[in-house]
Amino acid sequence: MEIIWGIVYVILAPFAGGLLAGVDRKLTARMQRRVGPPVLQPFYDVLKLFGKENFEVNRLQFPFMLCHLVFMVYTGALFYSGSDMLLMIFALTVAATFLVLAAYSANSPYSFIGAQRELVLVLSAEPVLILVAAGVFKVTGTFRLYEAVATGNELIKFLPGLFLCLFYVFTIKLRKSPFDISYSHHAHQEIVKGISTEISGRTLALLEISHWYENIFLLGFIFMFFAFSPVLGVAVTLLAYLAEIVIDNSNARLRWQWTLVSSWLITLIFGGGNLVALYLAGR
Amino acid sequence: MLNTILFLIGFPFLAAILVWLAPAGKPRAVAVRVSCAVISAASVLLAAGMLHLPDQIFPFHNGLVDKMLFPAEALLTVIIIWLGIKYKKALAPALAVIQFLIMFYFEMTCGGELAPQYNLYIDQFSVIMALVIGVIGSLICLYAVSYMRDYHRHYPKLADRRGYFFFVLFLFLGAMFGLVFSNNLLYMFLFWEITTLSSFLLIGYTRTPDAIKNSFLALTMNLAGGIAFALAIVFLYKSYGIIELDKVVAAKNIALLPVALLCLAGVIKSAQMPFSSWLLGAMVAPTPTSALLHSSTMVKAGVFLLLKLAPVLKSTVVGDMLVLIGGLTFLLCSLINLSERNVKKVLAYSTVANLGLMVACAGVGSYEAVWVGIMFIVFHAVAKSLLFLVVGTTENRFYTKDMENFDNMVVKMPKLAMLYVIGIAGMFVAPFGLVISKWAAIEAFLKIDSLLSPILMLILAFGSAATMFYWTQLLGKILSVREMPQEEKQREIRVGNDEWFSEWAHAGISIAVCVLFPLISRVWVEPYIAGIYGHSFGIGEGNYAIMLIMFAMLVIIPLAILRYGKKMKYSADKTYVAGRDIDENYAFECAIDTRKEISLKNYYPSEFFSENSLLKAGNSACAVFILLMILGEFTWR
Repeated sequence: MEIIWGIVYVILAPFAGGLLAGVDRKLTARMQRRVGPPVLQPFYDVLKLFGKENFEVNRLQFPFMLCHLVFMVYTGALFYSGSDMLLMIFALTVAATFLVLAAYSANSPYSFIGAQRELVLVLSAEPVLILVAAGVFKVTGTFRLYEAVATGNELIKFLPGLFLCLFYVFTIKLRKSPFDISYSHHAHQEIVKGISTEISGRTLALLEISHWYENIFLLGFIFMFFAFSPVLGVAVTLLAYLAEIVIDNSNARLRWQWTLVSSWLITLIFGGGNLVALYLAGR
Repeated sequence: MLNTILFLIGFPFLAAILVWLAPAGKPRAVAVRVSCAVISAASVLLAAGMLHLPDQIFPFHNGLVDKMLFPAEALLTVIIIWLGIKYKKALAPALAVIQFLIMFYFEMTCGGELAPQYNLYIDQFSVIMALVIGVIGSLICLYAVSYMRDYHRHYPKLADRRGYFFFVLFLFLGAMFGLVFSNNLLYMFLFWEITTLSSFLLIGYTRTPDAIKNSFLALTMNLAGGIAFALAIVFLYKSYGIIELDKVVAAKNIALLPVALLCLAGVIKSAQMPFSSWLLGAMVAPTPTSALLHSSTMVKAGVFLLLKLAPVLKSTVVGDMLVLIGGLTFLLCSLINLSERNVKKVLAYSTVANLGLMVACAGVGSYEAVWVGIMFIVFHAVAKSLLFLVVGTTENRFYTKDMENFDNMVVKMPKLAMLYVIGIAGMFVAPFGLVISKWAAIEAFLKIDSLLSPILMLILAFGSAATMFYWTQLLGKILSVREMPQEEKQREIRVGNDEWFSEWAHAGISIAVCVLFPLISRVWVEPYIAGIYGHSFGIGEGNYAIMLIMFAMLVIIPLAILRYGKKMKYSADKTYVAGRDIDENYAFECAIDTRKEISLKNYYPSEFFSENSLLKAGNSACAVFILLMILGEFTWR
């Protein structure tokens, strides 16, 4: 039964993710007093990318990007089919590794800097993910997502600190300002297009699609904390995404040093504090 | 069974003498190859023979062996004193003398009345250790055949003492076998000291000032560990009449002091902070030495002892201190690696870090934690050994250890690059070995019922993020692609066959242990743990299926790399340098018409993670923990 939700995710996530990206662009445009592209524009973009002539810089990049996509889809599928959360996080790490390798393989200055910064982002975000899984285990006694939710524990009540950390890292994972240091949706970044500078055509299309999958997976992660009340959950999740758009439009890009230090400090204080508090409360 | 064990202990010593006496060149190479084949075959046979057998203990009362024990220790002391005089070092001989005096006192006061019931034993844990030593250890010796040939070709000024080198290698293997089958602590102590001496001899092989300095550092620290071991033996026998390992583990209400002393010996041997410097210094030695020290011998002897003691350590102050020492070592060494660009040092710090997790597991002492510790030994031995071997091969072609010179390895040496990929995947990519251990470690740590649980979780979370960072940096360098002239791609031709064989065997084994680990767990690890704790631990079938799927998906990469150089549609275009590129690629037009080569350098965030300050902090903190561990007896009750 659970596996069906995984399959549903694999099939529907790209549509939902693309739509989300379209709405995102529209809202962003409105915040900047522009009209903005049609909501379906992301789909047009990707279809057009598939039609482009192949122009890859080397033989490894495409297989790497394919692996990145496959592992991203797998991560989300593991999540939505309620599997072991740690395995899911490991799969996510593998996906991130492949993206970095795709950028490295180009041997080009801008994509190289992008790869380095992407690694810094992973370094900043990874501890939170592991700690959230640990927190869920402490509260519910299982790493399996659906079992954890089925225990009826209201995760947000037990893990407010970790939720705060996750929200902070959410910005990194969505590649939003102020943390869009490795790769931005806008081509006027100081490192051109960063990690995707040397990626074009179908390879770039794969990257876009994987990004859609990733976003839908991340929304699920936020939702998890409120899963005891689906209505509240959907509301908070959408609100969180909206907040990210506002943050994106109202913040300048940070340096990577700040990204690393701030997210580690927040993780240490609020995430660590949350776990210690759980222990003291006898969980 | 007993005969196989005696053969495994005895044969390497014979082989050592054989390869030393064999004439240089072909005959010695053949002797090494045959000995390696025999040792690995014997250890596999032993494992196969033990498949359905329960643990066994053997009285093995041999008057000659018992009489030789003390003279052998005296001989070791004499050798150390002699070398100390030769190189004008005072501390190591002094420690050796102290150690000897302790044993002499013990021999005089209790020597006559000693009546150990069982001198040797075999259980599933020692079978696993035997496999690691026998298979990985002898593959490393095999690798050394062609590696040392190239090594001496490159350093013609060094005295060629290869016969002696192989002698010590095999001596080391013999001592390790002895260590894992000894139930009598006196036997174990002798083998323990032989590993100390052989590592010292191997590190100092080149006799350069650096090598001498670092070999004495290793010797001094490990002799201090030996003193702790000796004191533990005296204490155990004088207070409880215990002289056997199984009795220590089974003893109820035993004092913590001797256990803490044994743990101190283990901590030093496994190069935990504040003693990690000896293993890092050992990097000066030729690569087979490092591979051996880091994977199948020396450091694993320390972890082996600690994991054996794990049941006694659970929820004691000694165990808790071990958890803190291991955890802190893991975290700090992983962070240090963020700003480390010498590849051999990266490997070394990663070893110390992983050993830290194993030590922490032993300190936790629950059945899940011991499961993790044992699986960790296996996975780490294979992957780390493979990485050292390929780094050695690289070094013999490019004469560099700097990560920045590893660019485009996939073009220059595609086969070697694939070996790198397998080795590095073993270190941090799911579902390969170390991730499996880390995963189970998280579960084991979460089940601890003390404040250590959140602390260890934080340590693991930050430490593994750092691990991912530095391995991906190395992997990225290796897998970056740049077109180059044909002669640049010929580097692999001269790599010797022994080297290739050993490396591919390692690669095969690391894939096999990853796919077959549930089997390893069920056949060897779970029975061992069930035997001690009454119940065991394993990874669920559903999760195993998920991992197999991941593994299948990962196969895409090596295939892609293999296809590199074959026909595949792509068009190499110039990389983007803001339109200022000149001559094809890799150079661009700088200010005032100057030409600049493109060079790409990794980030090394040393402003946050400087080696010196992290080492200083870690060493002093862990020194305090060690002190508390030793004094635990007086604070606990």
